[in-house]
Amino acid sequence: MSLTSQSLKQLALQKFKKNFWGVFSFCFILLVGVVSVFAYVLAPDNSQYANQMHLSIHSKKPGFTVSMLTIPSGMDLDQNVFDKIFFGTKNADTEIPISSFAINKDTLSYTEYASDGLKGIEKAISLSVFSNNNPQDFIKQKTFLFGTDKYGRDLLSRVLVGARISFFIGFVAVFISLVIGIFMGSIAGYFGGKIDAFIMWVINVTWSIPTLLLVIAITLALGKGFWQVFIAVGLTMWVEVARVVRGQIISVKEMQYVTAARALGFNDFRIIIKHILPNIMAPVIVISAANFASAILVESGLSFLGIGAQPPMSSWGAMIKDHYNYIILGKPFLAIIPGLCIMSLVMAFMLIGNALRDALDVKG
Amino acid sequence: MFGVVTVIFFLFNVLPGDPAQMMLGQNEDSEQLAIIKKKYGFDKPISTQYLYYLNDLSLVSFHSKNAEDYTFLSPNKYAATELFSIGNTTTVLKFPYLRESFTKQGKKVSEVLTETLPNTFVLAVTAIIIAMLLGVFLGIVSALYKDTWLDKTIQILSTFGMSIPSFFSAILFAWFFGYILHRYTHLEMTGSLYEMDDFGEAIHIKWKNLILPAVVLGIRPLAVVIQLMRNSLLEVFNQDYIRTARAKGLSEYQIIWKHAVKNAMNPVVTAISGWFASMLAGAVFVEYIFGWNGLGKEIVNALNTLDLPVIMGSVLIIAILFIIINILVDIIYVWLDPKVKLD
Repeated sequence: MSLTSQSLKQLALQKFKKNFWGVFSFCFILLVGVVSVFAYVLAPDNSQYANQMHLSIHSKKPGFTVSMLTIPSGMDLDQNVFDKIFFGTKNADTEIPISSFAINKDTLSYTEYASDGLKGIEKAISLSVFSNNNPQDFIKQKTFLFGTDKYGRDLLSRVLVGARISFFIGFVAVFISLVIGIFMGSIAGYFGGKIDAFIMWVINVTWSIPTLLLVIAITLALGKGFWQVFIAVGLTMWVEVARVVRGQIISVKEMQYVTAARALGFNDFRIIIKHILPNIMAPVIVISAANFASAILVESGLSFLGIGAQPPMSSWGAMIKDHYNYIILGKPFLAIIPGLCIMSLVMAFMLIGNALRDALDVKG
Repeated sequence: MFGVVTVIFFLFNVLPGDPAQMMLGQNEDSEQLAIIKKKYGFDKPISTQYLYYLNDLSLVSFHSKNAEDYTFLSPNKYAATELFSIGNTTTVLKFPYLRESFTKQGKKVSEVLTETLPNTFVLAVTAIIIAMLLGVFLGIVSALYKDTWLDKTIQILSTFGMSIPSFFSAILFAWFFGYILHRYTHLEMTGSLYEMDDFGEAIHIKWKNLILPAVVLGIRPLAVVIQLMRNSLLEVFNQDYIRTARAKGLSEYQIIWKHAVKNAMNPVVTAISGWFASMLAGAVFVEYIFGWNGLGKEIVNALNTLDLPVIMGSVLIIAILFIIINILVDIIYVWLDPKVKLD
């Protein structure tokens, strides 16, 4: 035993730091968090939802390189920097993958890219559309590190932007479930009696409908779309939080510090918030980490069924849905990359949950 | 159970959009619309619709003798035995009526369910058996060789199994075993339990098609069972009666199998019960990808066509199964652990 006195929090932190997988997952989650916030800065394709399509180069292998001709639209889009960084650039320029080009006096003639040994269409365009009359500046080599999806969009950018939804749904769902769960659980546990019986009834009803089906029902009721999924997932997850909070409160309700607080004449609200809740947070934190993981899983599942995030929004589940047919066409990476992303993020949350459980010494 | 029915009814009836219109599609005319509305009782206020729904589901129900009314006891809707009648109302004993599918003309939801539920049931039971046997075994191994590389590998695999979305594992398994290794495994990427033979005459059972979906569906419960078994066995090893057994000089084999494992099974059995019902729901993805003709695939189809009675019926039946299974498990639990008494 060390002689310096340490608070329980410090002890838990110390234990957590010793857990390699816990720290590793924490760093990984932090990284994904940063990536999801700054997705548009990092992504090669920074158009809104990373939605720049090139049908002629659809479903190419990772590392595919092509020269890309950008024809400016001439439209001046009014968009501030903040919007660009966080929501992507609105883009009206046309991008054309080309295999060769030549410049004559005042026209640029180019051959469009065509795969499988076909010959691309030859086209010509007047040089005046390019602002500085130097078309070479508008032709760039573009490499698609993760390849392209079935619409010829950059898979890497889609994956980066897709991280946002997975991460965001975790936060929103956990937040909603905590607010409802702690409120319901604590009034049920603290007051008991009829309130408890009623809340337990609600909990049991919600609990006996499998999460996935309940979420499907709620999304149907609220309409398709990603906010609905957020709310639906949050509305189903509070049950577990409420059960744990209720159980914990019942077990600490009779403890002396609660009796002492009551003897001092504090009102019930203050006793719950200031005295009981801080003491029972450990299991709630552990459950939240698990909920985070299952929220990501449920969202990807819903998107896979087509009732989650709607196109053109990019979501890992929807990416698998779009591409799992390609797996037998020799292009398994299209579905495997987003799948691995979901898996690693979920796994990180599970490991962090386990590490927290060990560090905070929560049973089971 | 009443609560579940209520929640499901109101969830599905606050839907935006008019179900009657959805059924008719584009070529609607107001007369047809009115007929359909009347047939399904959509012209009534929601509270009346709710009472109708309860009446349809209840084993004992009241029906009007007036053929114009929604509750008219028509033989193609209800299979009922009359009990007694007062005035214009007949009281009958009947099988719960889950209404008709919107999209499959005139097909009863109960028929759809009886066609698909057994398939899902076979799949879920097989998956649970795989998960149980393998999970208990790996859990024991993991606990016995605690902190060795064997334990750590099993732990990592189990975390892996918990974090893989079931549709992703289904795709991977179908691709790997059904496509790449098809030459060696002779497994198909998709397939159902009953299949027509090549001449479209006889229907025969293909057990082969069960392997991949069942394994995929079993991955998650397997991972959970491993963790639970390991933790509970480790806890049991610290108990006094194990020390007593050791002191008596029993062999290690007897200690593990006769004393420790049986006692460590309790939490595993409880968890499995919870898993069984959610597996019926989790089968949605697996059935969808493997083309397994079960309840899950039916739910996906119904979702795409917004066939509400089918979705409502499926959710209801799964929820009720869940409740029944929980009651059964409570009974098993008493048998496993004499300390627990039924309330």
